[in-house]
Amino acid sequence: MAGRAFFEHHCQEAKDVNELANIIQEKFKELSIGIVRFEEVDLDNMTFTLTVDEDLDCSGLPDTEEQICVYDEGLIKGILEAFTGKKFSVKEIDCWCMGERTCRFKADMVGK
Amino acid sequence: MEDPSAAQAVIAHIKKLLLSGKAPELTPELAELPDMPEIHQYLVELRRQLGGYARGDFSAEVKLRGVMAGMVKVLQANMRHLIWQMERVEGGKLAQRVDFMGEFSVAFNSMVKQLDDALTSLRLKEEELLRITHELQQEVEKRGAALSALQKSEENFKYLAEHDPLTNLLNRRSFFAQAEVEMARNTIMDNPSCIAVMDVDSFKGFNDTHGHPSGDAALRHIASISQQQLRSNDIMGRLGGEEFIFFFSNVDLEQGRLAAERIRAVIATNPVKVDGRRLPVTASFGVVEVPPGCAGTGNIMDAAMRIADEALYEAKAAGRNRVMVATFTPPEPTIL
Repeated sequence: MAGRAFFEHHCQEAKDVNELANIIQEKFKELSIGIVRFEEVDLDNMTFTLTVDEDLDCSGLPDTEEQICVYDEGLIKGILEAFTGKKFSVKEIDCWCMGERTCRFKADMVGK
Repeated sequence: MEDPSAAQAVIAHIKKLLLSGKAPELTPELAELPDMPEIHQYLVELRRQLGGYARGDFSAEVKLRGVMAGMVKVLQANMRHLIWQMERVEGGKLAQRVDFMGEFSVAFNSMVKQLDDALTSLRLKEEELLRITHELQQEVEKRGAALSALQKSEENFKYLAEHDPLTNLLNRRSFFAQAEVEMARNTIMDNPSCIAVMDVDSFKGFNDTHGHPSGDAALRHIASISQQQLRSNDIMGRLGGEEFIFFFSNVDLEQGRLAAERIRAVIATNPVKVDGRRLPVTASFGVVEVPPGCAGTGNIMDAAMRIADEALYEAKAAGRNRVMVATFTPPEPTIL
């Protein structure tokens, strides 16, 4: 829900994925959600890999054995689904709190 | 670790892992030490990852955990992000900017901005060039149109200057100019030519009876059907009013008479059609031959026309609607 609301408030003008990526970077920084960097955008297979530094979910927390950034997973999922109209699965594959020093997310379209 | 030699072996092994070109194998003795296999594997994997980065390969997944692995992952993420940004710029997306990557950010953003500025400048120049080209084309078209209009106007003016507006026949001046040229050609070829003058019979009465518009229609009709009887080198002109003149090229007097007779007959047998009425008209002719030897002696055309006029008067006196001929007398040479 948060992701869809974010898209409707901030990302409606995005004409393509590139513009969407720029808006997400800009708005996440502006709203202090984190510093987003896209690593990979595969439009043929609809997969996205991105990192979020200084993540609001886990920034400053002590190291733990668990991945923390569940809110970000949902936020990114909501944004991608609102933009593409397709279902996505978003998983945090690296988390700062597990010592990775970056929070990295992988998004895959569901039901290709 | 109680055995100093074991500690030294571990230190030596780790030193090799960190400094040697080839990663050492874990000896069975070291493998028995607690956590040693994990530490060995961790360092081997780190070497492999960093080796890939040194070759520009940032694709391998970093499966390790922990702070050091995390730093390697951050490096990988940043490099892959830069590559992604470069691919966007290559694709023409010049709004890309990089943040929080130190000197990379500064250099990258500066490069993209300069590229953007250069492309914008080129685009503006291209638009300006297109605009100027378009204006130039319009100017060329405008001038072309003006030139065409001027040429057409000149042609119209020339035509009006040379032709009678009612019948579109040559006017007096143009007829004589062309006839003299044709006569000169005949002289060179030693060919005779004929001048014939034609006058519409009782034309004043025709106008009084049927009106001047009908009279104009009659003159146009006569001009049209007369021209249809001419050959390509023959010339017809309107002298004025109901009087016309012909130049028959390369014909003697008898042939000239026959040509005039043909025209007389076609006029007499083709009434003018005006407002559904058929109004008969006739014409009288005077024909004179100009032998080739006479050309160039005095004002031949005036002399020929005067003689043809005399023949015309004879045709009128004899009852109209006929052709009379006369013999050419060369004019007296002018004594200076």
